[in-house]
Amino acid sequence: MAVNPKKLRPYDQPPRVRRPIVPADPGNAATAYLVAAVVWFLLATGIGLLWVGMQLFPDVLSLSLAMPTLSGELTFDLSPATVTSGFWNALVYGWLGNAGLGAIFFITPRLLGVRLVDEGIATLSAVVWNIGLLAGLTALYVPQVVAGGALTEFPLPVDGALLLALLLANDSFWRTLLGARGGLPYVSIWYFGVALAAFTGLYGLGTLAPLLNLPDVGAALANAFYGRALETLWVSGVALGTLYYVIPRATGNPLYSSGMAMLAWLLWLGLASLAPIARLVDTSVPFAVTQVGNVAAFLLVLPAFLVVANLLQTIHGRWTRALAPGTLQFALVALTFLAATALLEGIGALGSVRALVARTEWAVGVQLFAFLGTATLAFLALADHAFPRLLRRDWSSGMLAEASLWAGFAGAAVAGLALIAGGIAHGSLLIQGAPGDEISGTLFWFRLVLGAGVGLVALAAAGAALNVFLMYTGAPRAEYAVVGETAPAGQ
Amino acid sequence: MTVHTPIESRTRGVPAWALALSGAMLVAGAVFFATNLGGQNPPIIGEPSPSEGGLNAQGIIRAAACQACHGPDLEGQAAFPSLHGVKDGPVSENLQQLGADHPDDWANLWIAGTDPAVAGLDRGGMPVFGETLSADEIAAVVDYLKTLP
Repeated sequence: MAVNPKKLRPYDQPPRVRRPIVPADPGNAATAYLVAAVVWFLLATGIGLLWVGMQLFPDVLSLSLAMPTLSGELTFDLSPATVTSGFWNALVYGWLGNAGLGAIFFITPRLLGVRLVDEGIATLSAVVWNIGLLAGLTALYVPQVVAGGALTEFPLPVDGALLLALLLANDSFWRTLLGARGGLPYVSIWYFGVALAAFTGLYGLGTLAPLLNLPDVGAALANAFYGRALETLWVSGVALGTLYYVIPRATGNPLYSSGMAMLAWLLWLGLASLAPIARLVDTSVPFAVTQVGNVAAFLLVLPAFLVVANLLQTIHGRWTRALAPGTLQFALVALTFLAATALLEGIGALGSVRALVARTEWAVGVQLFAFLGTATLAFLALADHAFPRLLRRDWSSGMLAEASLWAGFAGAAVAGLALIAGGIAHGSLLIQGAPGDEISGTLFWFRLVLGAGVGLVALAAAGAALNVFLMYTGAPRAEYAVVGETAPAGQ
Repeated sequence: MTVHTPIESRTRGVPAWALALSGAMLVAGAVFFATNLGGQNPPIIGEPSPSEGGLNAQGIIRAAACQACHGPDLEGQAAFPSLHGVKDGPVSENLQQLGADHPDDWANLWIAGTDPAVAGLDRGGMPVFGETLSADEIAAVVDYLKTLP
């Protein structure tokens, strides 16, 4: 019998749907992490511009505000030191951290063919992670509450919140993985497992280290190891896992060789674990130990080469797809940066090069290649593939994606090369015994170019954010299969 | 239909060239390691031996992020002056009078930034370290800076 809704009495109304405080629908965790990642990408590159500006015109941009409180005076410092910390933390934990966790929660269920266990817990981890990060980033500008070295500056409560978020993410990931049936998981999952476990372990150690009251030398060495291990194990691990997923998906081809992929994973696992030892440079550390790290850093070029070769062979026969804007183009540029970064890391590990560029901008330039080049482009490739599926929108890559790609490519290349070239110039001037003023004057021009590069990456971030916004607000709805559920007709 | 979209592989084996390349590079790495063991590490930036006063001056310098402005080797960068040569007196124009009035402790006064002697001087972004470092810590830093060439 047809019911006239206008004549419904109160007790005839259907019960209200109770929505959980933390959404637990399939894809919620990945959506939360990836949307937050795009916002952080924009924020991090914005702070990055300020970071370069501070290096060029510190007097003009520095600012200090004092605020009386019940327990004394709090100072808000916008200085080269605080902005440098802000940039690296926003980049590594904000953009790359969120994007990496988003990649894990998007790809893992799809490869295993099951729903994420406790999607709500994973979504909660995204909420805790981002609130903690925002508090930590704010605290960085208040010198009184900050302690530790690069990437370990957050106050203890913030570190605790971030560690909790990582543990929640681990809980969901590992229970999903262990609950899935079938044979050996695809190689991306192997990378994700190691990367997530390493990230959590390293962050835990970084949080606990100040409580151990290490001697200063020990603390500095631990900090140097931490920063490098975060790059080799977490950032590169999750970026490689992502590339192994998006390239076969974008081409529709099977992976060229699973055996070669596992060989590369094994080599990466061993060498990426040993490479951070190269940062243990101190008179208290035997040279042979440091040399193990240097050799491992040099040999990291091997798994990188195997990954690039495997994925290029995977594209074989579908190269025309690389002509269209979209996922494959982003992934190809990421592979280019992967090869370039591995080569530069290898060159930098050679003794003669180390002697020239030690304590110069070289290392930061190579790190920008890894962070803004390889990892950023890999995650943008994933964003291009994942957002239409997560937001359920019929959206094909267009002008904005193309603008993001080329701005990101050019920006990362220019920024990295500016610092690498600046490092070589700096090292040469130091060897010649040039005075500080001359070195500063020379480096000024390299930093100016660095600013142009970071500006282009910021444009890429703005393009990516606008693309997601337009996709969500302007694109028609589309049905995509939900992992672990019945697919809509035709899929 | 349950959506399970595994990524297949064209071949499960490892290509012979990949195995050969991996083996050759690992052997080359081992040989390189075995033949390059002679040498000694320099002190880590900011963390050498403790200064005379028992305080680790370079540890304080690292914690205070001096290198963020004055460069990784404290030789100055951009508008920030080099900290090498502190033993010869101030380099910056606006510190010349301070150096003349306080030849022995001008650097301590300047870094601390809380003494009336430095009131009114343009700090150019230099933090007031007297609020976060003790007088002994600042003295240790100055002692260390005076050892730089």
